Amino acid sequence: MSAVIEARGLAVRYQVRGRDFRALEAITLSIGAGEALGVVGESGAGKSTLARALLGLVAPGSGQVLWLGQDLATLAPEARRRLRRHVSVVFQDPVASLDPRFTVAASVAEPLGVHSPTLGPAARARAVEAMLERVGLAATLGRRYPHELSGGQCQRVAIARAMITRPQLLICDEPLSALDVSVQAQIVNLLDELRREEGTALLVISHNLAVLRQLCSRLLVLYLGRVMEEGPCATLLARPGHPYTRLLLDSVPVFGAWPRRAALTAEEPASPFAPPSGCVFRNRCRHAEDACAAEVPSLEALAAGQRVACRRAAEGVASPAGGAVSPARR
Amino acid sequence: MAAEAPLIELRGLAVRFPAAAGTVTAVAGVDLELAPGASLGIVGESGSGKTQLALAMAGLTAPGALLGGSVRYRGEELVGAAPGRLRQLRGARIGFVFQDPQAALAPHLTVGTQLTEALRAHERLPRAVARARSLEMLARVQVPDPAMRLAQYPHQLSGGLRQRVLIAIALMAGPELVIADEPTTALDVTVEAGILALFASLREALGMALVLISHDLAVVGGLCESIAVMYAGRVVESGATRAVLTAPRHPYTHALAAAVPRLEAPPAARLVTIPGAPPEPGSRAPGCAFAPRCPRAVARCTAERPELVPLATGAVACHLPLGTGGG
Repeated sequence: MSAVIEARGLAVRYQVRGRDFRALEAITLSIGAGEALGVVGESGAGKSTLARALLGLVAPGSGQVLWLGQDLATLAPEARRRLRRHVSVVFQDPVASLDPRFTVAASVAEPLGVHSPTLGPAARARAVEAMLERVGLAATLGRRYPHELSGGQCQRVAIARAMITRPQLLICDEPLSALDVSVQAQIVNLLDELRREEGTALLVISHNLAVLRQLCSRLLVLYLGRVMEEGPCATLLARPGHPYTRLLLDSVPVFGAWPRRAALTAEEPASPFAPPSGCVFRNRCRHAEDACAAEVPSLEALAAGQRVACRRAAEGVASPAGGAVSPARR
Repeated sequence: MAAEAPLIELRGLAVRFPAAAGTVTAVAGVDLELAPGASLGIVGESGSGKTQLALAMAGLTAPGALLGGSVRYRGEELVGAAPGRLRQLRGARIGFVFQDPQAALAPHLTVGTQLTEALRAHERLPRAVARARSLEMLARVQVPDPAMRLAQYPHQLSGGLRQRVLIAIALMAGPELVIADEPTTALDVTVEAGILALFASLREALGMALVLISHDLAVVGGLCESIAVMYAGRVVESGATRAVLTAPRHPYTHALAAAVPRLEAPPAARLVTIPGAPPEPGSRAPGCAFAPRCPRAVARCTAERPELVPLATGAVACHLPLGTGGG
């Protein structure tokens, strides 16, 4: 199966006031047609940098990004433009990501002007109307401006704009966090529907594990720019292999359950400018040993499809029984 | 406990803002009370009026806001009270924790100054005593290395530490009531868990009453004994947390609880959704504000606004509450 998007050994580094900032290190991932990959992590984990690198908006310091098997770095500008229609993005803030001076219809139609310049005005209008209806908006909404719409409606418009070129991959960077709770479920269902019915692959960036479980079959856990763990969503949530995944899981508030499971680590993430040597999570990990400081753990297979970057993963340190941060959740 | 006089009591509290066309109502007549040492979670979406309600409980108002109704703190009326008296109460009796710790701390003052400022405004204390209390309070909110932190500025702290400092400031004068408005919304989940655990342990140690404002039922449910659910400026349901979460009576509470995917529940093929969006603040329909989105709505719901009616375990404002005939 050929991948819609692939990253191989991707690294992104920034210079911030003369200091080296490693936003991403050694990221390898691949998303097949119609597949959904979730990326989870705290702020500063490099989630948004990953989205930007995959979109070709920041140049990798090393490694490759491939769209439909073609290396972005070696593509001629024209070829790259032709491929771009297949990789779309939906950002966090739906109101800010729409031009306030454009009507909804103009915003949704704009990518067509770039990617299908030969399309006549009538055909374009029909395509826009069909797409608005596809994302659950009345076609008459096309005449409105973003400020006349609710946040949820704006997010639907942003999704329509992203989907109008029939992309093979939709990258969603925290698509729900600006929305009201009662509206979030609508957008989750819409994204899932687009994947199942249109075959659009999804890369969903979120800090919300329950949302990712709803949308994605695979999960990538990012911490300080590195992959801590990856694999099938169900496996990672039921049997996390990395103590960091366990920490994320145990941090989720559970309906009506208090006091929360025992002691969570009070330590906060290390500075991305000065990550700990060896395993970057070790300063927050209660299973860390001297050896964890010595070398960066590589991603090793733990269970079917599950790979974990922890020296002690095989000992079951992240399992509830392994004396991790909490007693068992069901 | 025999019927204890409430610590704070709201009767018909209304918050309105003057607007081009008449006034916009943010809070439309809320009755609530809280006993000393009790905890209440106020849940609602943006525009539900929960923040304006929280501010009014502390005798604060947003610029231009018009207060109506009554807020009594230990029997003393706060609506219309002199600004000096309100200042005295805040800080000394009522602590407030804001949502955005970055914005709520003064960037040009050290943590130490901001902590002792709160204290010295309300009690005349020698500097050394104030410093000792600050250190003690930072330790109490589990800020590592408090002595070093006293000399630092807010930008030198992480988001989680800033929020701990804000909580310490709110607690400095030993308040009887702490009001926290979305105290964890700006934070990562791992940090949020730590802050919520801190609130729980502080309540146990200090016995203060807590009002926690949140959009997240699970956050509130974990920390508070009772819950009030707000929609479009009104309380639509209130009661003991367990009852409200496990057997919600208002269709909105029920839908809100069902619409949020939860890890502890088996995955659903499709999330339950609430159609439409909350009404714009200021839109004023005669009936129930939730009626246009409500699957149970009947003609009466759009014609006549339901009052909050007491039940065995709480109260609900609905003509056809769940769990009654046909529910």
